[in-house]
Formats: sequence, C-alpha cells, structure tokens
Amino acid sequence: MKEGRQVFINCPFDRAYRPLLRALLFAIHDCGFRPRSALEVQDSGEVRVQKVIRIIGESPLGIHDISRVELDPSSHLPRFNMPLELGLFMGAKAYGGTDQQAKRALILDSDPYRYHKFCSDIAGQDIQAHGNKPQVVIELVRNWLSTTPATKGIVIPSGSLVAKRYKFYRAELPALCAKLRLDPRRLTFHDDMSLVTAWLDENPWAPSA
Amino acid sequence: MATVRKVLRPLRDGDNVTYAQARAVFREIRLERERAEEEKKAAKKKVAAKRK
Repeated sequence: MKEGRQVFINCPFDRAYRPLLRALLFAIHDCGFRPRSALEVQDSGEVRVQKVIRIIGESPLGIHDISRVELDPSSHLPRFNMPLELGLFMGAKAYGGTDQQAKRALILDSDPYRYHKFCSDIAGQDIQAHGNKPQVVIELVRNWLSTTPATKGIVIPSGSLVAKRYKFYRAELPALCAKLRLDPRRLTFHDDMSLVTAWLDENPWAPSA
Repeated sequence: MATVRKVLRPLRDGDNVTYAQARAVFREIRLERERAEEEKKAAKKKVAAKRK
C-alpha cells in the first residue's frame, strides 16, 4: 500500500447522500487512490471518534463534504459530524509532525458560499461546490487528486472520462447485484468498495497512446 | 510520463469473497459485451462487403 494514496472520506453515509458517495468512491479508486472511512471496519470495541482519529492520522489526503450540515427534520438540530471531523483533520495538520503537516484537504459543499452562514472560520480555504451532482463530484475529486504529490509525473485522465466510466459501471451494477443476490439499495460501504475495485480490475484504463 | 495502465491500478485490500465473486460476474458481463461488439463489427463488414 502506498501511504501517500490514502484518502480519508468525511461525508454523510445516509441513503440520500449515496449517489454522491458512490461517485466519490469510484473516482478515488479510478484515479489510483484508496478511500478510507470510519465505516471500513465494523468493530464495536473501537470508539468511533478514536477510529476516525486513527484513520485521519493514516491518511495524507482528506475529502470533506459539508453539504449536509443542515437541520434534521425530526430533531431540528444540525448535523455536526462533518465539521467536527474537518476540524480534527485541520488540527492534525496544524499541530502534527512533518507527515501530518503535509496533509491536503478538499472541502466540498453544495453551494459556493453556503458555509459562510454556519462555518465562516473556514473562509479563505478553497471550497468547491458540487451542486449535488455526481458528475461534478467526480470531476472535482479527479482535478484535486491530480495536483497531489502522489501523482507527480502521472497523467490522470480527465474527470469527464472518469465520469463516463462511472456511468458504465452503474449500468452493469443491477445485473451484478441480481447475480450475487445483493440489494442495490442496501449495499454497505464494504460492498461498494469491493464492487468498484472488482469492476475496475475487469475494466482497466486502456494504455495511453 | 508513466502510462495510465501502469500507474492507475486501483489500490485494494486483500482478497475478499464479494470482490472475487463480483469480479467473476463483471468478467462475464465484459466478455458478453465484447462478443456483442465483435458480432456488430462483423455484421457491418458483411453489409459493406455486399455493397461492394
């Protein structure tokens, strides 16, 4: 495992966010990186925040989607896990050793300036808006990963091409789920990771001309 | 510049059952798709040859 290619994903994991999460996972894998998340290990013995801290420490890169910081319809309270984990990531970068100081983050939101209203301290960071569109997420992730030190000397194909491959993958997913008796609406993070890597291994990028 | 194929190999954990089974099914789908494309090409060639 190349350490420089681990990407911590800080995003919601509810069903409504699934289309964006799947696009995110696909783009990260297709660009040759590895997504890391608190969901990757199901161990009730490890306290969640400790798991998050451990994974952040192991990941030089982090994608933070704060688009779902909004009022929960039932509790009328905002969801703060994403800003909290973004804070942990920024704290590791600010106070950690040399490796941690080299951390890089991509911050995503649905609209360009929405964060000003609830998290203005991050103003000045380069925050990208995805408009809740999977294709835009793929392009933003690809463009960001292509600027990281791990891709020095490597050309990552354009986001539009990665998005095109994602469409092919999505088109083949129902047949796969039917054969493996998986419910496409109930795929776990682990399922998604396995399916994406399996598809990519069967459909690698053609050699560049 | 390294080639895309050489460098952009997705990173993964070791083998797992879902991965192995999914890969086998995706292979079937890919082979089926390639077969269909070949047949389509062959049919096109046939039509072109007849026109000549």
